[in-house]
Amino acid sequence: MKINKNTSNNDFIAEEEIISDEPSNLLKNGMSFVAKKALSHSKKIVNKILSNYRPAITINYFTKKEDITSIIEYSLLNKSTDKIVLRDIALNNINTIELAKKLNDEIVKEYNDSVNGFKILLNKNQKAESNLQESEAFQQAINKIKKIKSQFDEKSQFRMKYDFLKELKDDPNNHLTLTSKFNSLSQNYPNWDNPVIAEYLVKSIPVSSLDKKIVFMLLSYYPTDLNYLKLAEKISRKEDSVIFSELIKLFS
Amino acid sequence: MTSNEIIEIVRSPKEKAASKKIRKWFIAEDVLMQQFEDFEEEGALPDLLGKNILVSENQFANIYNIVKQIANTLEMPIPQVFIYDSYECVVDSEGIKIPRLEISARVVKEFTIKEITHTLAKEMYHIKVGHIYYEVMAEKIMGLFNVAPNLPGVNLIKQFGGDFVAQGANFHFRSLAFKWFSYACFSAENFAVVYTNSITSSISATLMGIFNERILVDSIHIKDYLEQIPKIESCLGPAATLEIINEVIPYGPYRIDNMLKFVISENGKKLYNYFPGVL
Repeated sequence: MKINKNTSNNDFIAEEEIISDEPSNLLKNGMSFVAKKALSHSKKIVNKILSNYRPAITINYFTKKEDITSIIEYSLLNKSTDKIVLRDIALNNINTIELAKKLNDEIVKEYNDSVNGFKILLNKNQKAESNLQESEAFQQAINKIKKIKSQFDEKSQFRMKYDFLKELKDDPNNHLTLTSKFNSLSQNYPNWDNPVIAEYLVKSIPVSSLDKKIVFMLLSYYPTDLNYLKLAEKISRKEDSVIFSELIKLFS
Repeated sequence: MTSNEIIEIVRSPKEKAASKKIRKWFIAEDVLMQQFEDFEEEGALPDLLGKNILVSENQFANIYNIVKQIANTLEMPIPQVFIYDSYECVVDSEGIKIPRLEISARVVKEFTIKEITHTLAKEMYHIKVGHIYYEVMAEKIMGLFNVAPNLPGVNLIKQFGGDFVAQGANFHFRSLAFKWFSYACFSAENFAVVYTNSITSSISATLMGIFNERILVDSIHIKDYLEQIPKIESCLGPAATLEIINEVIPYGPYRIDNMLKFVISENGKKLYNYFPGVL
């Protein structure tokens, strides 16, 4: 508040009234509403434009529960990342597998809803004897979604990995069931990739019969982990073990 | 093993795909290259010779010998090497007609021989595989996008949103070019780490290039430093994405992670054992 010592008392009161005169609540709320809407829309537009340029998220970097949950929460809120990627990230930690299941169910539902939506349009079109071109377009859309769905592979690799991880979480000592589930996964998908499954195998299989590939898969997730580096040193050829010795020294 | 076989092994598969994409945007290559060679490259030469030290068998012989050995491995002519005064630890490769390396005095003073080898091998790989050509062309194309809306005749198109098209195209091309450069950097560092044959020195050389201070580099805990990666990838907001897209050189943790993963890969192990390292 500005005080002018030379003014009379009456002048001072008048000035105070003018200065303390605030905008009405209606105006404040209106402006705040418009600003909020503008910000949210501009964020949506920029997000949409940048979605084609955003670097792909690397699944291998997400193994900690807090990193996984934070990226999933943010991505779902802002629709910034493909749900399939998020689902696969969620399988990287035993404590987030239920989140993976939830995302998987949502993806399946979204696919089914899209197919059903196009089927309804196709039926309406056919009943109304609308033009052939439109009917063909609806049929093509259905086929396209079905093709994507088969690529997304909701019943196979995800299901097998999830089943294994669920068993591991609920009954970690049931090696018989775990072995059978792992055999089924590795037979169907020899190139499976998952840090939790690999960790389980490294712990439960004797080093002599351990597939080297599994150790190197683990190192791709944890390249500085001393235990895995020591294991890699042990199972590698003599000339290769020098590299692991150097890394062990570096990270010790 | 021939240099081409080595290059094929270290080259990041993503770099191949990315270079194909930016190559499609290269226009008026002959003219732009001519302009670069006749003006920019030629114009830089007097200052380079007059203000810096040209490495030879008698001046900085240790650096000359490392460069000679790398050139021999990569089956390429020995590039000119200049040493200049700077407070930063920088080794850079420049030049198309006469390729050259520029090394800051701090690198010569503070880097170990193995660290210098890593940085020289990285830059000489860039020269050998033609990365400098791509880099210069990308800069020229971006320059064209900036001047295009001001060309005579284009003003009319501007009235109908032509400058927005140019800005959009520039943004698109720039993001492609920066992505390519990241992969090119990874390929060069793959070569440098196996050539140097010391992952410890390669990591410290890379970190010194980023932080310029030994005290900082020595305090870095690699495991914790790499754990910054998921935090970077969790930055998905539009402002953060723009910042990431605008980064030419990949972030430090990614560079370290890339080298580590390459040396423990089958290809990396093969080459790591093939090179004798710095004697």
